[in-house]
Amino acid sequence: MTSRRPDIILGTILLVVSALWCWGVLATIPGAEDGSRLGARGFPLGLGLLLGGLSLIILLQSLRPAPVKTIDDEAAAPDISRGVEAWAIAATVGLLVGYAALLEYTGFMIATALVVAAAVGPVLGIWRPKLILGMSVGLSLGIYLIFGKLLGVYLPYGKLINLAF
Amino acid sequence: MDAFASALGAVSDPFTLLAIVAGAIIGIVFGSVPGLTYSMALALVLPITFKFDTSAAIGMLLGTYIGGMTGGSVSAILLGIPGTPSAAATVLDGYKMTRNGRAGLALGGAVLASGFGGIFSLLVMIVSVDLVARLAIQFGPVEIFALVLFGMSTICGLAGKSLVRGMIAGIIGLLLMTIGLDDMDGVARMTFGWTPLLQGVDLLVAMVGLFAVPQIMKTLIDYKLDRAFKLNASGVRSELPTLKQLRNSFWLMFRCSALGTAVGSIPGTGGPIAAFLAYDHAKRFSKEPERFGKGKLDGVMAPESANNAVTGGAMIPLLSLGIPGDPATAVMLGGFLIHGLVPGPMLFTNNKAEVYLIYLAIFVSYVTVVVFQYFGIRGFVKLLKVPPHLMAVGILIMCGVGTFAIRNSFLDVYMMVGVGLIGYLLMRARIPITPIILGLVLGPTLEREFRTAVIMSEGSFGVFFSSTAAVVFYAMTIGVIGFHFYGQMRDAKKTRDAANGKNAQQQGAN
Repeated sequence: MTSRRPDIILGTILLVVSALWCWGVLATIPGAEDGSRLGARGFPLGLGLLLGGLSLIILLQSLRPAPVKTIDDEAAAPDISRGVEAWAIAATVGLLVGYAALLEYTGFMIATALVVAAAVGPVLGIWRPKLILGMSVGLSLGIYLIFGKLLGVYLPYGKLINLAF
Repeated sequence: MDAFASALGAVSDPFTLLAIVAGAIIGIVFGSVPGLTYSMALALVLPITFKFDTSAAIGMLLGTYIGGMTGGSVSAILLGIPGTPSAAATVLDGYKMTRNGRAGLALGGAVLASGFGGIFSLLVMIVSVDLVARLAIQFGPVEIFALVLFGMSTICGLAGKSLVRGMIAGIIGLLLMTIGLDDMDGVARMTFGWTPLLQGVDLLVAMVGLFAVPQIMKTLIDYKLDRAFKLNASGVRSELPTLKQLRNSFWLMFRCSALGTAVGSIPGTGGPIAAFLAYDHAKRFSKEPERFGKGKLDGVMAPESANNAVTGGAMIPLLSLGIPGDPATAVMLGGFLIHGLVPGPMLFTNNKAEVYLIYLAIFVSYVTVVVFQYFGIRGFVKLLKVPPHLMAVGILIMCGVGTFAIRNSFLDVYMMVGVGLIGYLLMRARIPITPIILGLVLGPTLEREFRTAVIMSEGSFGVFFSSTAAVVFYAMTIGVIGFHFYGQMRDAKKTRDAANGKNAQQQGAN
C-alpha cells in the first residue's frame, strides 16, 4: 500500500459528495425568479463546485508518484490498530445514538442511568458493581439536581415512561 | 459613564459573580485534564447559560474561556502532557522543573505569568477594539463580505499544513450551514422535503459534535491500548517566584504578552503559535540559552504569559469586526448572539454597557483564575487522578443533555453524533477542524452580505470592486493564498531535493 492511498480515497469521496450536493441543489432549490439577483441557489451551488475542484486537486496530487515517505504521511497513519479504532468509533456512536433514543422514550433519568451503566460495564469492561451503580446514580441525580432544578436547563421527558424527567 | 456604572452593577451582582467563578473553575478543569479542551468546555457550558440573564451568561462564558487557557499549564507541568494545545510549549521547561522537584515554583510562576499576560492583553484590547470599531463602522455589505473572505482565507491557510485541505474544511463548514430554511428567500434548501430538517444544522449542535465526539473516541482508543496518562504527583502546592526572580522576568513577560496579544489578534493563529514563538524568543534573548529545556522558570513564564495574552488579542477582531479567530472565540460569538449581542462595529453604539461588562468580566475572571489556581491546586491535582475514560462517560452524557437543551430537539442529538463522526473521519484524513468551525460561524454572514450587496446593486457584480477597503481586503486575501502556495512549493522542492540527494547517496553507496 502506498502512502498516497488515503488521499485517493479522500479525494474520491469528496468528489462524489460534491457531485451529489450539486445535483441536490439543482434538483431541490429554486433559482432566482429574475436574472437580476443571486437567489437561494447560487451560494450552495458555487460552494459545491468549489469543493469538487478542490477534491480534484487532492486527487491529482495523490496520483503524482511520491518520491519518499514524508513525516506528514507517517502522522496520517499513526500506530492504531484498525480493530481498536473501529471499536472506539462504534462504541461512541452506539452509546450516543442509544442515549438519544432512550432520552426520547424513557426520559432523562432512566436513559442516563442506563447509558452510564452500559458505558462503564459492557463497553469499558469495568465490572465493578459499586463504580457502575455510583456513576450511573451519581451522574443522573447530579445533573438532574444541578442542571434541571438549580439552573433550569430543560431535560427531556420520556414519551413512554418517566421518573421526574 | 452611565454605561460603565450599569456594567459595574451587573458584574457585582452575586449571581453573575458566581457564574464567572463557576465558569473559571470549569475552564481550569477542562483545561488541565488532557483530552478535555476549553473549546469543548465552552460548547458544553453554552446550553446551560441559555436561561441566565445576559451578564451572568457572558460572565460564565468568559470565565470558562480564560480558566481553560490557564488550566492547560497544570498538566503540562505535572504530567508533561499539555492539557490544551496552547500549553505545549510549557511542557518543555515546566515538566523538567517537576522532575527536578520544583513543581510548586513552576505552577506558581505559570499562574502569575498567566494573570500578567491576560491583564496586559485586556488593556491593549480595550484601546484597540475601540479604534478598530471606529474604522469599521463605515463598512457596508461589500466591505464586510470582503473582510469575512479575508478572515476565512487566513484561517484556512494557517489551520493546517495544506491550504487545499484547509479550504476543503472551510467549505464543508459553509455547506453545512446552508442546509435548512433560507431566511432571505424563504425556501427550503437541501431538506429533500423532510420537514424536521428545515430547522437546519444548529451551530452549537455542530460544535458539540466536532469538539466532544472525536475526543471521546480518542480517549476510548487510549484506554483500550492502555496509553492513558498516570499521575504520580501528590501533595503539590503552588509557590510564587521571589521578587528577584520576578524582577528578572518582568520585561520578558511584558514582551511575551505583547507578542501573544499581537498573535491572538490575527484570525487563524492562537495560543499554540503564540506560546512557541514566545518560548523561542525567551531562549534567543536569554543570557543562558543553554539552560532552556532543562527546567528554567523563564521557559514556563514566557509561553504562559503569551498564551494568555492571546485571549485579549483574539477578542479584538471578535468584538470590533465580528470575526472569531479560533474555535473558542467562535463558540463565544455563538453565545453572544444568543444573548442578543451582535459583535461588530455597531456593538459599541448599541450595547455600550455590555462592552464594559465584557471588559470587567475578563478582569474578574483573571483574578478568580489566579486565586483558584494558586490556592486550589490540590483540588485540581485530585481531578487529574480521575481516569480519563470515566471522565469520557460524563462528557458523553453532557453531549446528549447539552445538545438537547439547545432547542429541545431530539433530531439535534442525532445530528450532533453525525457531525462528530464526520469530524473524526475528516481529522483522520488530515482535514483540519478549525476552518470547519469558522465556516459554520461565518457562513451565514458571508452569504447574507454577498446577497445583500448584489440586491442593492440590482444584480451587478461590479459592486464588489466599488470600494477601496474591499479591494484592499481582496488583495490581502490573494496575498495570503499566494504566500501559502509559495511556502508549499518551497517545502515540496526541499523534500524533492532531499529525496534526490538521498537517492544519489544510496546509489553512490551501491
